[in-house]
Amino acid sequence: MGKLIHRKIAAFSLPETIVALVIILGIFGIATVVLTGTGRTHLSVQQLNATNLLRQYADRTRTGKEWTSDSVAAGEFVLRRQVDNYPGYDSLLRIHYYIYDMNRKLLADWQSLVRADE
Amino acid sequence: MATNSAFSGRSPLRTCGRWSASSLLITVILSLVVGLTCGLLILLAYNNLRLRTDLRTEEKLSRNLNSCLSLVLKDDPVTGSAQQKAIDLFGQGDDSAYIREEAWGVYQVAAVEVRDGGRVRQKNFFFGSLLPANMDGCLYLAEHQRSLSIVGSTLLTGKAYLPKGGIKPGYIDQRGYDHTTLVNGDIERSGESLPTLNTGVIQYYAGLPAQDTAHGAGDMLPAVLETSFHDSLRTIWGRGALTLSGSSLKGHILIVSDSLIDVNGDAHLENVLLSAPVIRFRSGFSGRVQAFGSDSVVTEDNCSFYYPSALVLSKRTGDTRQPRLIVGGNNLLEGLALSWCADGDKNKTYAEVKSGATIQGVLYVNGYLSLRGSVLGATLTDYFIYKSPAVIYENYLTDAILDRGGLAGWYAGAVIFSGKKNNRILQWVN
Repeated sequence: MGKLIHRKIAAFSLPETIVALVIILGIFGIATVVLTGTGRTHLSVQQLNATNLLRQYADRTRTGKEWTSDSVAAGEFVLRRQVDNYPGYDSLLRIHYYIYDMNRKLLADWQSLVRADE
Repeated sequence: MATNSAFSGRSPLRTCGRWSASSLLITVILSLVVGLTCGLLILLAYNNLRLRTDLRTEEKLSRNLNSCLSLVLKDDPVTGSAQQKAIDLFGQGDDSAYIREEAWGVYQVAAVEVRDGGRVRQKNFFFGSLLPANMDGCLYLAEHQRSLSIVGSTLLTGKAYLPKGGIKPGYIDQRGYDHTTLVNGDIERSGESLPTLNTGVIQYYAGLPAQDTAHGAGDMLPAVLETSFHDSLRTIWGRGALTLSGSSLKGHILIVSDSLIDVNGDAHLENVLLSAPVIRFRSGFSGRVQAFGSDSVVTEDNCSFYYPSALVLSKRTGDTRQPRLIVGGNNLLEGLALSWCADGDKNKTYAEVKSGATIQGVLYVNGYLSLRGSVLGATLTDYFIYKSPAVIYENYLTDAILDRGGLAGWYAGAVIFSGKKNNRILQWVN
């Protein structure tokens, strides 16, 4: 019994601790990199806010039937819509919505078709 | 005490034996916990990312689908065979859409499909047009140098387009006019003919029975059949009299007979087209259907035709008889009742709306109309006719209700009326 205890202490304690710590740090590092990466590309709060704001802007445009190109500032964002005639159709408009941050970096955009006389 | 004596001879590194001995277990457990936590966090982030991507895709598909609807509603009506097109909506290569448009009786049907990645969204729908400006009244009686006489409980509500002779109270079978006001609305002069129609669609369906040359014995009529408007048309060609009894037919189905289609009250028809020289609906029928006949279209009492339905009688060119469109008593028709003949046809057509029948929509008669029911919408005719047991009175309107207010301003119906098209969705279909 005494020999067993003695052998365990001699074989593992410090190197195992270091290895385990390295593993833990490695996993933690990878997790941090992955989480930061996804947050930066898709889960940015700023981008989510921008998308929501752009959605509201598009809804307002549609309900108010504001079929003219326009640009407005809203807090830390700049919203813009560009209205053109859709080729080959009368009274069919193509509206391109954009939202930028204050550095004029495009955060989101989309297009839709509406009937001017609807 | 015995344990203490056992460790008494160790080096300083090994003196804290209990701490060192359990470190392996603790670190393994700790690394497992941290590893699992990190794994869960990564999984959570991945799921979150996937959810957001899915939502964005769905939102984009929804936007593109609505854009396609706008595009279809601005298209000119299709009169011939179905038109199909695959387009890139915004020319950027990632907004693909597939649109299929087809005339479906007097209405139009479109199947729209949008794609993004592996995701697909599609919708099928009927659409029609707002009524043209000259159908904003309850009555359009063409100018044939005869005044209109109204008798009994007849009530005209809304603008009336009348001949130069105007309107006056009449007296038939010892009955006069019950009300004090002749027209509850403005009166304007009508033209010598009814507002024009795009008759291509009507003539196409009415002419189908004559095209049936390749089907010797005719097709079997299935008891149950449902076809999506996204799929190609299912045409059933019948030889001789065709009886629909207990059948359930729904969707993109056209039934053609070279003589008679007899629809029993227990048949269930949903958005189906019928074409035959003679079409008869038996008492108690209820459904959504468009019927195109050339000799007669008759509905017995207590039938219901729900929006968007149509009963269309199209007289063949050169036919010297007078075809008949009969809407039975206590019928409900939501949509269009049309009795048409070519300009210059002397015998014209005959239409009858019996007492208790209600038409919500448009009643258009190139010829003689015997109207005893109600029309909530627009009535257009060359002549009214009233038959007593002994005498036939021309341009007498007895116990009829014509109310333009019964139809909403945004009501959309058949696309066959001339004028600026302003299309609206009538019904979502499968």
